Amino acid sequence: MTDLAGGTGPELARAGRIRDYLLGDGHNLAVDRRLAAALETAVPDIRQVIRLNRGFLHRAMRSLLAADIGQFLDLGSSVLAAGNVREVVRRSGHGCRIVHVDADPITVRQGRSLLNGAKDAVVVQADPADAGRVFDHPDTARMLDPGRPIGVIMVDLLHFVPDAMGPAAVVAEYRRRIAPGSRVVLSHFTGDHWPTHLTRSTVEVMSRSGDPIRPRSYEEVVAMLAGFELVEPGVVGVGEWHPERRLDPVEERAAAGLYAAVARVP
Amino acid sequence: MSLPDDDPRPLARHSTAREEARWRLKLARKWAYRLSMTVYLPISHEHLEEELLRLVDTLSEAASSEPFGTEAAAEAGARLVDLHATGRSSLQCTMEILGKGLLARRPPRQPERIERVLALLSALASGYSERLRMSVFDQQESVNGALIDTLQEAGRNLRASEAQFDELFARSASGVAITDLDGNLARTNGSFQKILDRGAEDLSGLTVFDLVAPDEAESLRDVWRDLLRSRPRQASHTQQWRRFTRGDGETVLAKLSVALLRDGADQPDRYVAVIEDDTELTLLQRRLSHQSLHDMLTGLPNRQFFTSRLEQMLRQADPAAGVTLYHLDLDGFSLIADGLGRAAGDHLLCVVAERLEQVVRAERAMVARFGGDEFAIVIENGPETRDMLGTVHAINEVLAEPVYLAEYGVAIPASIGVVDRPPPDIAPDELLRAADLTLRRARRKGRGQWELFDASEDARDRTRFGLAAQMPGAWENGEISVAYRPVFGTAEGRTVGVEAVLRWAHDGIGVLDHDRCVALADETGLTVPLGAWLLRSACARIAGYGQLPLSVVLTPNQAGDPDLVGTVLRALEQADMLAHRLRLVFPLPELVAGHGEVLDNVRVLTDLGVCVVLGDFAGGLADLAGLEDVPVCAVRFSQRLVRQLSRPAGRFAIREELAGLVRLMHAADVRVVVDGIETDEQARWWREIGADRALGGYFAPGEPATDLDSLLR
Repeated sequence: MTDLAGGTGPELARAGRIRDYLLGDGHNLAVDRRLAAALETAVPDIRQVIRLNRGFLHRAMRSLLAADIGQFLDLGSSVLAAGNVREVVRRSGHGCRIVHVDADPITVRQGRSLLNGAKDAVVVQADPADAGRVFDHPDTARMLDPGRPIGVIMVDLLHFVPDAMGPAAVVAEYRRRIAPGSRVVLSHFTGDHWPTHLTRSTVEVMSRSGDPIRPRSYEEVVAMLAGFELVEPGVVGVGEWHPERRLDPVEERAAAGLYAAVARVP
Repeated sequence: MSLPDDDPRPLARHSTAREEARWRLKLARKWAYRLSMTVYLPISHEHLEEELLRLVDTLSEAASSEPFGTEAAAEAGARLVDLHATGRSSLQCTMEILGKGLLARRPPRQPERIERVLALLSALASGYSERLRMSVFDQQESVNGALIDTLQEAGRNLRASEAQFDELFARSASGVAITDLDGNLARTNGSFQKILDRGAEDLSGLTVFDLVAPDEAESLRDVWRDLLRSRPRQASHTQQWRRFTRGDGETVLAKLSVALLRDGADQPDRYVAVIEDDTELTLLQRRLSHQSLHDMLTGLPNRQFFTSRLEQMLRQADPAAGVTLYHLDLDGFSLIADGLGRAAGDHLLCVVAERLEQVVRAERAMVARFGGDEFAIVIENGPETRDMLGTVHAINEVLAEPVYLAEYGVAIPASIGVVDRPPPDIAPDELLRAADLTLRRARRKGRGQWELFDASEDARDRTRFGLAAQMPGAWENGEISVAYRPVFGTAEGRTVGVEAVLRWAHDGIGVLDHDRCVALADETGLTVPLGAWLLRSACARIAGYGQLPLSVVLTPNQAGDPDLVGTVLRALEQADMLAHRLRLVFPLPELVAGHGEVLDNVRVLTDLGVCVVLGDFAGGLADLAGLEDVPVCAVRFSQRLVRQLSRPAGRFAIREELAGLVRLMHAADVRVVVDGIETDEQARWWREIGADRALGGYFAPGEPATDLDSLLR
């Protein structure tokens, strides 16, 4: 049997490509679009959730650039999507180095052809939850200086990490490898504020994809950042993290499904 | 929450430019707000407002510009896609905001204005759709391309692994068989067929259970069944030893590895069975290891193995009893091997090996062959062990029994060096060396002798071998020089020639004489080059002394050296000396034995004019007979004979005999030389008998002189 990353073949929808479709882009396959449709039926505000998550990524990235972070490890947030980490960096005019990590070989291939031999960014095919594998990859070693602060982007990542692997342990493994002053940007799906049926439907639909999702509580998310200093305003709803404008009620409801935080290695 | 006004108030018809700008800004803000809810826009909100204001400006101007055109609106639509305003309701939201805004700005009762706004919005929608279509095409092409590449690569990997499997299957030295779930052989490789000595056609139709020894068939079926029950992703392979029945009926023990393979749906599909023909492998491994530790001919342990075991035995032995080491060398083995051929020699060695093992059969002992005709025995002494003397006798006894080689009964005695109960902490190498030196001492005593290690003898031997080892260095450093003995003419009553000899002025030991030098040189194979050097140096030194004859005594090695003639010619030529002044003394045994090389040397040298002297002559008739054909110009009585005849009065009329012999020699035109004359009496006696030339301490007391002139004065 053909084995594509993580034991999932192209017959399985992947969260990254579903996200791409729901963001209005075309880097996706029919199987992704079918599952995206099912997701939208179950969670009508799903596009808002995803949009707000991207908005948070954008704002957090700008805050990291303002803190003079010049190298980024983008764990699964996609090199392809509009407003990806590299795009934000490029618009800021900073000269930065970026390592995109993705487990989906199709996304990796597309990302590589998109980068087209760019010197400032690479796409590494690896499980983003495996810090050892990611840091040991020669491309990572070539691009990133572990002696200087790194921005580690874990937006839309940790809720795909199963309990057995311990998302807190995944974060801790990264923390161990990055210099003081480094930042971690994370967002995480939660059922704390959503109607139970919405959370359950999300979990059910995504269980049919190659990336089953797990909601986690505020306490669990805070625990993942043990050993970090939380950047203001701490672990909050994804719309509350330094918003550019006030959210409308629909957006607020959607934003309650995701926690967001930026944390700093002391 | 305060939202921007949903329904901009229509502005006055004659609004000022400033009012117009404010209106446009308000429209752009509202548009930005509504649009940002339809989709993620990867720019800051402020930036988005600026972008959209630019589009509002463009559209407003297009609505009132002359001539009217829609290109700018189409571009604005495309720009929206570039801004990523590609949400499901992004266009709808845009049409609503712009439609209401643009129409509200001017009273709708101007039909031309309505038409223009509709045309602009249509163009915007077209421009938007077209750009979006192209963008999605690009994206889809990219994702599909990546998908195809990924699948192709996976396919290539699959094909490559299939090809690799085929290659592995065909070339593997291990036997590989693929069976179905019932154990029917579906495919076997060449090694499998070879190990089991069955052709592919013999195997078709058989199950794997038919191939093992009958009493193992049922348990092998169990293996197949057990694997089938294993869960997917569980280890589903096993390894065990099995006895297979070969095509020729023989049983072969092989290591069998079986794995259950599953199909894509995780269902059991087939088995792969791998067999390694271990009997052959182990045999080979054993043989290789045996070869490196054993002598191939006799099968005895070799020196290397013996040495390592020796260390072990020294450590393990009861310290009071210790071990005893016997080092043996077969006497005259080379004569037998040369005379009866190599096969006979090999046979003899095997018999000896067997008999030696027999001697120590009851002991904790090891017998080894060190190569050539050397053997060694080490015995870990126990209460029942024969004493050392008893063992030596036992060895001699078994070796005394004749061995029949090509109808000749041959008994081959051995010289034995014994080291009895060495200290347990002695290094094995040291012990072997001590045994070797002891053996050499035994050999010097004659055939079939044995010798016990003796520390003082050992020290002497060590000095001897130490000296031998120093010799090349000493020669190079000039410690070894050429000295001269006078040759006295008995009739002339004066020195009529000189003999060149070696002299080693050793730093610690003092002066070593010629015979000692030659003996030492023999140990290290230095005689030939050292002899040539002696000849060369002496010729060069003597050349200037008119017709003065020069004698040089050759060693056995030199006498038979194929290059002797060349060496002599070069020495004469370099010294510009005539050949007839040179007397070369050949050792008698070599000459009489009549070895080809020696005789050739003698003949050629005689032809060249060199005077060949027969050395070590004792006057035996047999020796004389052997001399018939040898063109010698002189004979030289051995020093031993001269010493023995120091008391001329005896039972036999030796004096008369010798005088007769001398006359005989003279009749044959052969001169007579004596060496070792120490007293006036000896000198007179030999002169009376008729000896022509005499050497010895009587003529030159002390050591041979390096100063030639003082001799001839």
